[in-house]
Amino acid sequence: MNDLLLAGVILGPLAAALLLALWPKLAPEPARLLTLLITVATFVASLPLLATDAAGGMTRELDVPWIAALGIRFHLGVDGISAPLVVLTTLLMPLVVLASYGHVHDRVRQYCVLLLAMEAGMVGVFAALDLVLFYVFFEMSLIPLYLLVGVYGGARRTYAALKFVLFTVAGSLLLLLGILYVMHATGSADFAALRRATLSVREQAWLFAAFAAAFCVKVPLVPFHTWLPDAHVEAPTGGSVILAGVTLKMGTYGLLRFCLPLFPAASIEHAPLLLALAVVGILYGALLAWAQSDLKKIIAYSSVSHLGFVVLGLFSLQSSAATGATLQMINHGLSTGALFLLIGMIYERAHTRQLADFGGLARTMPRFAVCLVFATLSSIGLPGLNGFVGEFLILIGTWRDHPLAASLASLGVLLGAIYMLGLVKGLLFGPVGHPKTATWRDLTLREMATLAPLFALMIAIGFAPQPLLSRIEPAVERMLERPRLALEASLAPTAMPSVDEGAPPHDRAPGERR
Amino acid sequence: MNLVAGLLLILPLAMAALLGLFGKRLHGKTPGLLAFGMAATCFGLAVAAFLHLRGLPEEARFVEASFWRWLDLGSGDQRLALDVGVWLDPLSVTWALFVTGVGSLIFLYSISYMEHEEGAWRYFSYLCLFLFSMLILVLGENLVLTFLGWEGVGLCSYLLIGFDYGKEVAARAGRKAFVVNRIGDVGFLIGMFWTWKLYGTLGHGEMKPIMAAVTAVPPLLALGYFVGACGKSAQLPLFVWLPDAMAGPTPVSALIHAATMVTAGIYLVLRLSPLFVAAEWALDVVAWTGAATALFAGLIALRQRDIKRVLAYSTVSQLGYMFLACGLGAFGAAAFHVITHAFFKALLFLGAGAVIHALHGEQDLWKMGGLKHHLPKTARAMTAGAFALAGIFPFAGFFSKDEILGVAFAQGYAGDPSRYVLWGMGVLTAALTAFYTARMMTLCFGGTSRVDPHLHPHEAPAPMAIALQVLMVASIVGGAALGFEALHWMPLHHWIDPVLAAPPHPTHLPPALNWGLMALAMMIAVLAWRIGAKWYGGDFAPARQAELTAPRFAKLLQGRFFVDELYALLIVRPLRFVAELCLEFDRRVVDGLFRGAGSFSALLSTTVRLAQNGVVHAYAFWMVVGAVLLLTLALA
Repeated sequence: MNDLLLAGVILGPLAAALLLALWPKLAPEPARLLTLLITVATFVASLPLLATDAAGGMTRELDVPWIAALGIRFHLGVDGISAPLVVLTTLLMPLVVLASYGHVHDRVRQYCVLLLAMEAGMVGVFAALDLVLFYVFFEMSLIPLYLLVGVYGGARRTYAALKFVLFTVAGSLLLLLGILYVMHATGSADFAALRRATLSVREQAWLFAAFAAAFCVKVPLVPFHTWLPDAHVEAPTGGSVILAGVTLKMGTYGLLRFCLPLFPAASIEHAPLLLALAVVGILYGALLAWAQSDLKKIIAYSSVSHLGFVVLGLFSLQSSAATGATLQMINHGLSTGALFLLIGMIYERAHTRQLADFGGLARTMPRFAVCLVFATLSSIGLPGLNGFVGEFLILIGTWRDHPLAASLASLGVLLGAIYMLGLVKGLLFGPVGHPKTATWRDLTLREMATLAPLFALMIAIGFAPQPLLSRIEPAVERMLERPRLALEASLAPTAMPSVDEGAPPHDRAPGERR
Repeated sequence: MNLVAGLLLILPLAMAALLGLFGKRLHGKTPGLLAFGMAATCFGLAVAAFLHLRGLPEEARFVEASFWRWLDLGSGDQRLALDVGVWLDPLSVTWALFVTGVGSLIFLYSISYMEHEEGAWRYFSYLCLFLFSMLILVLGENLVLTFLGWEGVGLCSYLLIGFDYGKEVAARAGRKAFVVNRIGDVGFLIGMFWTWKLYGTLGHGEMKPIMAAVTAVPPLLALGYFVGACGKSAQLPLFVWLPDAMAGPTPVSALIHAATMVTAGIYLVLRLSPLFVAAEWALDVVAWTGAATALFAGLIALRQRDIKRVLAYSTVSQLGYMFLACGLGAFGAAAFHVITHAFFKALLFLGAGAVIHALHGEQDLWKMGGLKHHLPKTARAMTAGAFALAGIFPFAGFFSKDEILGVAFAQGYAGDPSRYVLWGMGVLTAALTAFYTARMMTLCFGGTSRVDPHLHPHEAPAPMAIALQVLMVASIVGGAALGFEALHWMPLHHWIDPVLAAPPHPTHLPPALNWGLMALAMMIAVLAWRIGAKWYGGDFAPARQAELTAPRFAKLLQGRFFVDELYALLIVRPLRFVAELCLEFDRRVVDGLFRGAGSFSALLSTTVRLAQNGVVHAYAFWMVVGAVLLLTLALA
């Protein structure tokens, strides 16, 4: 019954982090190599998680009492939604370590400690099936990232790090309050039990607001997005990759995993608002990306736009769209991860990120050019690569019930081409921009190796997404079950129990069991 | 047949990958020869597919081959299942035939044309990728695969226009092409979303019976696809990218921007023709857009100095004819014109390429002249292409263009007077076409030489010459061989019409009227040609003076109606302004609000400064305290 693999994927990096932290005499390079080996081993160990339950249930569960007095359990498990996200996390970590050879030269060991601690936290977020445990991991992944930006970042790193922390902490405080209330109201923090519990409509509204606020800051959904560009610009390359690749997904993951199944009535009530914010985010983020001149900011705002697609797909409550949205979480991790890695690589050479400083790199750095064009095509959703599958599913599914939202969102596809090809043109084409361009060497073998796994996955998912989709879909279906029922109930006015409105908080409507 | 279809797709893709990864190590003509060999093999495969389908009874002429399941989601009426596979029927095989056929010739031509260019391997790699994309566009089993090819050809066009990436103009033009095409793609996407909602499928095979039974289609659904077609096939108002695309190498202009890719829009309309017929006024929009584009681009072509730009606008104009045919419901005639146009326009572009090659890159018609003495073979070949373009009997273009005009007149004759207007626009365009073609040919080959005296133009090397000769033959006999409506000789129609929607309006004229109109069109074309040749044929000075001191309307033509400037003024700059505005709004208002909230809370927090001394150690300390607390609780 209790499977230790998942715990190993979390505790392994955590133990390694402790080891490195308590071993000050370890020289930087051996520490880095050790970290690389551990992260690769973690990645390999996490691969069996992809053998998910075909019916959408949890596998690899570990369920032991933790804080018995409060009924809090150390409950882990993965399904078709979380397993790919866990593997995405464990895949990106070794790449981030590889990339660090280029730009982290001081306090290497501490950098590795932070990376490993963060890995444990992020995997924990996707694997936790207890709300309190989820919260612990949620915070645990936050602090190393804060330090990563604050210590290893650029000139304005303190400001950016503080802003990042203030935003997320404000959100996670609400989340904590929400979790405490849920435990108080239902007597449990266990996800499986909560999925059967029913909260009154009014309770749901408040709890949804608290949870969604925390998650929307993380996504980030407009208008909570202003921390993101600052954090990205100041973060070191590895920080940006993790931030965009994984941390943002915690928000969308939380919306899917907790908001939709636990607060179904509130979810359908607020779906129009979230759809609207998602569409605004897609277009507004894209326009902002277009107006930027800093490479990292362009990608940062493009993330706002792309994550808008994810939220759109989730709250369309349509199965294909939500499945596509979950796939898009992975896709965005791959394409944006690759883009931040590439920008890091050029920054290490040029020490500038202003688009205007560049030009003509296609001639002097052909390998870089090919890689950048490739990552861009994935990002703008060229059919045949991964990004298209997610976007297409999101839009075609959303269009069924929300044609206007989907049509407006489709314009994001157009704007994406405008700003991303602007970036490509500015960097690669035209006359040579930077006087030192000729002295920059093309991508090294290490750098190519860092990017290669991402590119391979972009092609694989683009050509054959079904293996991944068939894992995601049943799990997503389960998350959508209750919101769908609530939607049907709300569409048939007589079926709506009006008692709920005035009922005291503890008086719950009968729970629907499957 | 599955193997043939699979190879048709795999060969170009594999060759693209091969040349892209290892082409750098190949020297001289090797990359070109490899690519040409692949393209020729593909043509052979297409012929095999054609012969196979021909051998089948008419109603069974299709092959559906599925390679793997691309995705399969949902259930019931929300099921979305798409395969990676091919759909062979007379329509897709016809396209595959001329794409690989004309394509092979252009690959052959490119071997010499690109021989001394830096990075020829890259060029051929893109060209192979283009062939793959184009083939999947026409052969793909469902609309999503068609869309894959659709965007794929757009990508290759982007890469090939910007081939000379050091040139700012080329990089700019490539991006413009991609972005304008994406405007159309949004329409295509919305069309697909809507189609799936209404009919529950996007597969060509599954749509066939559905489309046959459909009676009413929302016009906007069909127009979604038409917007996509306007982008790809450079129709009003999305035609602006095509003339700029001429910044790419000339064989690319011939292959992608004249013969094949730009006809993808026609392919889409033909593929979905039953939807268009059932969509009330959608077809009228198609017809008027086509006719207006034909006339508009024909006018602009009158006053262009760059030989490639003349040809580019003439391509836009001819594509307009094809859409006019679609809009009239004469889908077979549209396909006919696509094919003849592929022959003669590829020929003209390749000929222009030979001229530019001989003049070391000179594209200005005013700096040519008298070249028939230096390049007699090229001049002969191009003249055949020019006669075909001008619609002069018995060259290829005459038959297809005349059929389209005949249908327009027939519908007017049958009682719809607005169709006479369309016919009139078509005839006027035909006159303009003959005139500007004569102008181009005369400025290039006729009169006295204005060529830079340091240049010594010489004929193109063998591979280029062979490609020109073959296309010349096709441009002469290609029309009469495929169909002559007045004599009821219509092999192409018999082959392709069964898979297209039946025309919703009458298409036939009484024979006497038909012959009369034909003679009229012929006379107009010859007359316009004679005038053009006379004006520009004699002494060059007065003609140039006339163009320089042009009246206002001609200035408008020289400035290409200032459409680009208009777009910049009305769309690009306002959008950019909005983006900048958003940026300011984001900085000042959105971020400002939170910063305001932040400073407010900072004010509060001065009272609890002890807890927030900003030192990392302190945070770590409290973290540990928290962790210990939790652990104690756990143990309790």
